[in-house]
Amino acid sequence: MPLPGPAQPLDRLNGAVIAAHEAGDGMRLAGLYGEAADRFAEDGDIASACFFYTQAYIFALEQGAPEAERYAAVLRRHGRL
Amino acid sequence: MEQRLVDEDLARVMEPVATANGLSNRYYTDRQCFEAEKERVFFDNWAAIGFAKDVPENGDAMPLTFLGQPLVVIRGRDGKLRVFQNICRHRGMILVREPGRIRGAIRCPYHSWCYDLDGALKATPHVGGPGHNTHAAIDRDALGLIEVRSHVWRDVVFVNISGDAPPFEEAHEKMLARWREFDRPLLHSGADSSFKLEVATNWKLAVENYCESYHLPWVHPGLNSYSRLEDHYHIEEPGAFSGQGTLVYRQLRGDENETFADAPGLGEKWDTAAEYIALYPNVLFGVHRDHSFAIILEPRDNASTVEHVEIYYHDESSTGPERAALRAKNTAQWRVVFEEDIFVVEGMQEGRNAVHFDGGRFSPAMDSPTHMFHHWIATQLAR
Repeated sequence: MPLPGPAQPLDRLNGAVIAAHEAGDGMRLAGLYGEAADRFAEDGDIASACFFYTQAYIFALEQGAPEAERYAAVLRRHGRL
Repeated sequence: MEQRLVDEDLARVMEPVATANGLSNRYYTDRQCFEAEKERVFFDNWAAIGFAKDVPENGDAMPLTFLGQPLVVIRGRDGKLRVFQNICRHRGMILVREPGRIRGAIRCPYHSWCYDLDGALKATPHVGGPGHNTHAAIDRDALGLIEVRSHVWRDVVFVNISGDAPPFEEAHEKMLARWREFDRPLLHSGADSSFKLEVATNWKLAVENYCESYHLPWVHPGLNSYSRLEDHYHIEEPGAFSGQGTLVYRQLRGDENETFADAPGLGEKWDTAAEYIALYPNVLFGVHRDHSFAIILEPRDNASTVEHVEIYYHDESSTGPERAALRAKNTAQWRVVFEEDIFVVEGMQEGRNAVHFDGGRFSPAMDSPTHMFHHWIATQLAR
């Protein structure tokens, strides 16, 4: 499966994601990736959504953020976890 | 031929103290001997690597390197302290670089495999392809962090890296019994009771010097005024520990004659006794009625050792601000004593370059605790 291409939702978020990576701000990363994933999901692009839900899940898990469970539930629903 | 020579060297060390030689130069200077010692002395036994006080809260993690081994000490959500190899089970990447609090999971900085504080592998992102986080070939239950056997005693974190040593309580049963009266929480006040010394010596020489009182009148003349040589006794437990005790310990007093509070419930012996024991291989303990200390010897190389010194108290009244000045005085006093030993342990290390040195001889009357340590080292290396 190819990686998601130049993702429109992420284009807008790209700068914020890079800044959060540089700052090591895991909570922000979880939120930004989650936002991107939700956009793909709304568009029905499940493959891309699951890629970004995975990113969101991992950063939320690392931070001990309760949102991790929401992302995990979505991934489970799609058989991805 | 080489092996036979080594064996002959060790056999001489294992003779009775009156006829024994000490360990020969190679055990202080030779790289191969250091490597053998690493495996047989440190990895096969219970070696001290750090202090539990440095991971006080659940989720605290402290990475360290001990004899080249990347380890991480973690206090779990259940409050239990565990030691793991500090590597991801995926590509062997170092997981934790800095000490700190882990809020949720340990995330490998490489491909973001995530581990729980108890070592369980929690997540393997994209392991089955982008957005697919499982794969039949990757059994998460079998790929948790590699735990190293550990045990905490007197705040010191011990590890048995080989996994083959008897349980700590069994291996050090006699040590635990000897100081059972001191079996109570040790209180640490922070930076004012902590220091380290970097010494250009082999770690064994620090143990050897610590074990005996013979040198006290010469190297620590300040102790002479009240602690005479005849007031000391040997402590010897073959295969486990050795050291010295004093019968005339006097409490430190402050400007207003204040003292630290005693550990409750101690027997009369401890009114004036104090003991200093090297628990093999690499931790030096001291106990007194009103305070204790532990020194972990971290061997960096044959001729480089870091002494991590931590001083503990037995009552909360001793760790509060009202005793800050007395604590500072106590720390300074011990620092002087331990620094006074540096020139001898460094001098003996330098002396190990003398090609005709035969390992030296022991005073049967005064050096038997030191010989006991040599004997133990030789026994480990000859196995």
